[in-house]
Amino acid sequence: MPQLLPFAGLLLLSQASLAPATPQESDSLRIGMSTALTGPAAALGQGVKSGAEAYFAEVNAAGGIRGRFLELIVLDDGYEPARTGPNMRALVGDHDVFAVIGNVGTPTAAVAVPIAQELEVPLFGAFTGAGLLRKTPPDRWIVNYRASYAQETAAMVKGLVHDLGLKPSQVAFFTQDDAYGMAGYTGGIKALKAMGYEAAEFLPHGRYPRNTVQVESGLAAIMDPRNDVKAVIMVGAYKPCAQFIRLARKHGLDALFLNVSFVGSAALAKDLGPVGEGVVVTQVVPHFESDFAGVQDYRQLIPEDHRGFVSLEGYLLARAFVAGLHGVRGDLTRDALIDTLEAGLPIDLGLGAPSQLSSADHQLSDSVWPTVIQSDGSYGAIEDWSDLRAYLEVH
Amino acid sequence: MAQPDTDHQGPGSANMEGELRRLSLGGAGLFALLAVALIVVLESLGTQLSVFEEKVVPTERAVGGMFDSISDLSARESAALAATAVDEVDALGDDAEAAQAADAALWTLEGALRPGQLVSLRQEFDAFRESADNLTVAARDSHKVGDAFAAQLSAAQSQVEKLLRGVSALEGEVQLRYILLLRELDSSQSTDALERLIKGDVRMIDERVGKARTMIEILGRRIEQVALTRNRDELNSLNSNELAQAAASAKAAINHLSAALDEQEYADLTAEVADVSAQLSATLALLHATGPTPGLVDLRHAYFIAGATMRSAQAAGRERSLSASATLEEVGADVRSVAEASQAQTDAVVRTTRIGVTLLVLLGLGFCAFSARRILMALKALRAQNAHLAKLKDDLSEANAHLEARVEERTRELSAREASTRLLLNSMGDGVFEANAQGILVGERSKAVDAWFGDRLDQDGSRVWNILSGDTPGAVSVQLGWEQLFDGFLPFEVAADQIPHRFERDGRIFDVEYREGAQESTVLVVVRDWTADVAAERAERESREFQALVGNLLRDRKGFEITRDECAHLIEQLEQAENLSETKKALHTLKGNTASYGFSAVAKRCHSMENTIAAEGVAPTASELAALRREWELSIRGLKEFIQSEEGSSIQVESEEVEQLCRLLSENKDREEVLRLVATWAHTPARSYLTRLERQARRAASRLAKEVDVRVNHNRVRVDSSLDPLWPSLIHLVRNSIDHGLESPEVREAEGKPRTGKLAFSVEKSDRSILIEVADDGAGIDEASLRARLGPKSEGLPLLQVIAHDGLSSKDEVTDHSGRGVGFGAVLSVVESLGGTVSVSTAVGKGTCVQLQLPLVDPTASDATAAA
Repeated sequence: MPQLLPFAGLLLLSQASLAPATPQESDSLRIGMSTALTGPAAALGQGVKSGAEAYFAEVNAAGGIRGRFLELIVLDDGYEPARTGPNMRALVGDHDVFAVIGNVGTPTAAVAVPIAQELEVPLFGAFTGAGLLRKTPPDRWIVNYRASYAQETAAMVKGLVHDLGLKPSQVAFFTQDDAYGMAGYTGGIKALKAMGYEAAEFLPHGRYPRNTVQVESGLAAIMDPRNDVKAVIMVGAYKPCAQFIRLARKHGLDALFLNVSFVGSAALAKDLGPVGEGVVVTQVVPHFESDFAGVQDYRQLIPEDHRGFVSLEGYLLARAFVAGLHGVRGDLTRDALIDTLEAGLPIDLGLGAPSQLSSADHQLSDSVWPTVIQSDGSYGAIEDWSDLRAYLEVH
Repeated sequence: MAQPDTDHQGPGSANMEGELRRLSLGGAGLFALLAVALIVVLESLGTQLSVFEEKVVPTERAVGGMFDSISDLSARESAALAATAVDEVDALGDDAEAAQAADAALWTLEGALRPGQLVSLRQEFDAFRESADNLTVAARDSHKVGDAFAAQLSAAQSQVEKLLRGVSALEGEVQLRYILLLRELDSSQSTDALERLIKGDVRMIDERVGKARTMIEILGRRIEQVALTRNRDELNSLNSNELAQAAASAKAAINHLSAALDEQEYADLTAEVADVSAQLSATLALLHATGPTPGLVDLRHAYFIAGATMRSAQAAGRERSLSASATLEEVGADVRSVAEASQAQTDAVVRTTRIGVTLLVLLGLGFCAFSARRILMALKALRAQNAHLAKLKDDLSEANAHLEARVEERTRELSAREASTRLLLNSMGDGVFEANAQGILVGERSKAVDAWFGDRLDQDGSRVWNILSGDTPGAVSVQLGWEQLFDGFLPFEVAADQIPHRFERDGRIFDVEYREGAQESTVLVVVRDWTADVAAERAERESREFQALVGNLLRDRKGFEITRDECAHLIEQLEQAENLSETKKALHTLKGNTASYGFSAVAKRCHSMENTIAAEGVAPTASELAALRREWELSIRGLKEFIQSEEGSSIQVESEEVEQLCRLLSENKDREEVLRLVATWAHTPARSYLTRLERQARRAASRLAKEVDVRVNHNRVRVDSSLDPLWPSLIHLVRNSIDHGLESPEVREAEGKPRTGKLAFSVEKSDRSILIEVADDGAGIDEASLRARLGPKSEGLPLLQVIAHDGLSSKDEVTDHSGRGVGFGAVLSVVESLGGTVSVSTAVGKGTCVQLQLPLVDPTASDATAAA
């Protein structure tokens, strides 16, 4: 039955097209997305796209926005920053999109953000937790849904030290040798310093070059016998991370491996296979099988085998965006959308208390949900960080 | 210089004419000179201009074109030099356009140049073009080589990077091995592990990986340095020394590393090192030519060679362009010199022209001054002459003005007079005009003439006779009379009398008078409109007649009625008369009756008819009789109401008769007697008849301007109606007495009689008869002359018969009052018809008395009968 739901949505759409107040195709409200439909991050791009599309289909079936269909125009940038720029300009210039939502990636965001600012187009709910989208004060045209990488790593540090009882010195970092890795690393360091551990910068820190699996050097840095590493906070892509975990386990590193959401949970679990059990991945959305009302709505739209954290995030950010559009009073313009959001429009995504933005806060969610790869390769929600002790002791 | 219109008046103007002629000849000569000069100048300037247009301008343009072509090509050279890529050089296109322009310019120049100049210019330009082409080719080559070099460099660099990554991976793995060894030592504390750590392969491999890394980094820097070499010498040096050294060192380091790896123990690393080694070879292969593909260094060499070629081509081009420019400058200088020569010539012409024109203008001005002086002098003379003439003219006009004033005054007088004449004429209301012997109207005529005869006046050939008389006979008689007026045969008045004086036209009656005209041979015709007078007279007459009739009617109703009936009877008699005699009698009686009672229109008609009978002896026609009857009926119509209103409704009783009745009744007389008296009252009193006669007599007398004293003695006699036919006929007796008997007052005075004549009517009644007497004291009847006029047929007849004889009248002249014995005859016949007798007694100069004895019907009997 759940598999049929999108088609039920389509059915609704076709019925709506027969209704008198039929939104006109030519007068659709176009929304853009430049994401990775191919390449190493394709799974992320596809996931966000499917979640957002499912929600737009539901909105269109209910009559669209002010009688206009939402039309999602998705361009592939293959996670290459060089393609992101032309995509952004094409979306705004050629396709005349109202806003760009759900772009995947930090290096691509490094290109997309200045363009959004330059063209004064809302860049909403980019699938990245990088700090360059989270300036203080925030850029006017950048609105985030998810918590930042720093928040994820900070949550990891807190969980490891406070809940699991590790010493800060037992924490190590393995990061991609770029802005993404640095963002997560910095968040963790700050959290540790906040706990009073001033020597955080001297903790073992392995790096790997982007787009390689040359993790040995990093692993060597962490496995130095002078260290007593019990937990490795990893900020990287799923392949090198999986390689790292495999090698580390192979060479007998007895530690918890914690990945940020961007790693790509499903791909990581799949790559690791049985080795993956006990690997922690923090999420910026609740578990897709959780009981939140918003997640239940999501499950109504997405067939079971397509569900996942990424598509859930795509769904939620699309839902938040549409809520923002609905909140606009008067002419529907880009400025009006940002003004409405900054004015504190309550946005209820069915995940507890509604969120509100302001001119000083452009991020809807600060929540981080830890999950762990279970023996069957699936992710299980972690209610309490101390539950992870079992995995520590196993190894 | 306009001449005043006095040029025929004196010698001054003739002088001036000559002067002007001479002056204009001089002016024309000057103009001709000026024109000739202008033509010469224009011709000369035109020649210069055509030289300019045909030679100088195209040549200069061609020279300019050549310069343009050269500068185009130079610009191409610069652009080719400045271009940073092959595409930019290709984008410049070929120089065919510039070459064509240059060729065209050269063709143009051909005529203007010296042969040697042309050839050298052409050669120089071709050479310049060739060098420019060479330069472009060289530039393209240079850029091509440069591009190839850059691509090769980039490939080499990325290869080096790849090498470094591979080495890094090796490094990481070796490090991990080292750390793992450390961990092993840490955990096991075995001396074997320690020995391996200190003397073992891992440390050596780690060192040699580091060495290889360093060598590869150096190689990378050397490769980068190739791009920085500035010339072939530097390149050769770098290539032979540093680059060769770095390549050898890198190879050596990799080999050294490879040698350190035990293939058994480090199989994975060995493979990786072999990979790195292969990559190093590939990298080095990029540096130098292997086969046909040029290497990085070769490309750098080629780049330098291309640059040198380009520079030499540029130098050659510059040299040739300078040479061509110099030749062009020469040509330009030639052209300029031609232009300058032409300009100088033009300037000379202009200068000459200026001087010539100035001279001519001065000459012209002098001539003008001279002319002005001559003309001024002539003008002065002319002015003096004009002044003289003006004085003469003034005198003349003064005289004229005087004369004009006189004439005007006279004209004014005349027109005033004429106006008053016209006013007079018009105010007369008469038609007054003059006409000449031909009957044509001349001079003034009064307004009435136009009003009355306007329609005929306008007709062509209208003459007096046509104007006055509407019909042809009338016009002819006027014309005849008119001619008599002028033929001088008869005195004017006599002749004028013979022209018809009265005309009737359009219901108007005109009375015309002819008088001698103011001029000879004209006649003044005065026409008066009598229409109104005649109509008024007639109306007055009718009115008078009507009044008289009514008066008679009121005075004597009975008599009037009797007369009326009698008249009606007479008219009937006339209509039925069988002979002329009857007609005459009846007509005369009718005339007398109607005249005496005031029916004057009828009386007049009767008189007219009598005249006709007397003149022509023919009885009146039926239509004449009908007209008479109409006249009669018309006359009495107006009186009908008076007659009808009181007809037969009363009887007249005298006061004496009433007294008589009263007396009879008071005396208690016999009833018979009273009855007889009253019965007589039904009869008409004789007095009414007699007074009627009296009135008629007075009227007749007044009409004849005779004075008469009429007396009536009626003796209160009443007469019955049997005598009714008698009374109207008595008028004849009255009229005879007034007309024939009584003389005019003058005659009576002359004869010793009173002026006023006497006429007496009396009536007496006896038992059997009634006696009526009419007596006057007039002239009496001259019985002898009567009988003499009557001739032999009067013999034996008593006087009574003589008088009554038809047609007889004692008067020579026929008047409407009487004059005929007819009247007397009529009385006689009436009396006799009533059974009475007539007796006449007369004495010449004493008077006449006529007595009528009529038998009296018994009034009582008749009255009684009437009463019953």
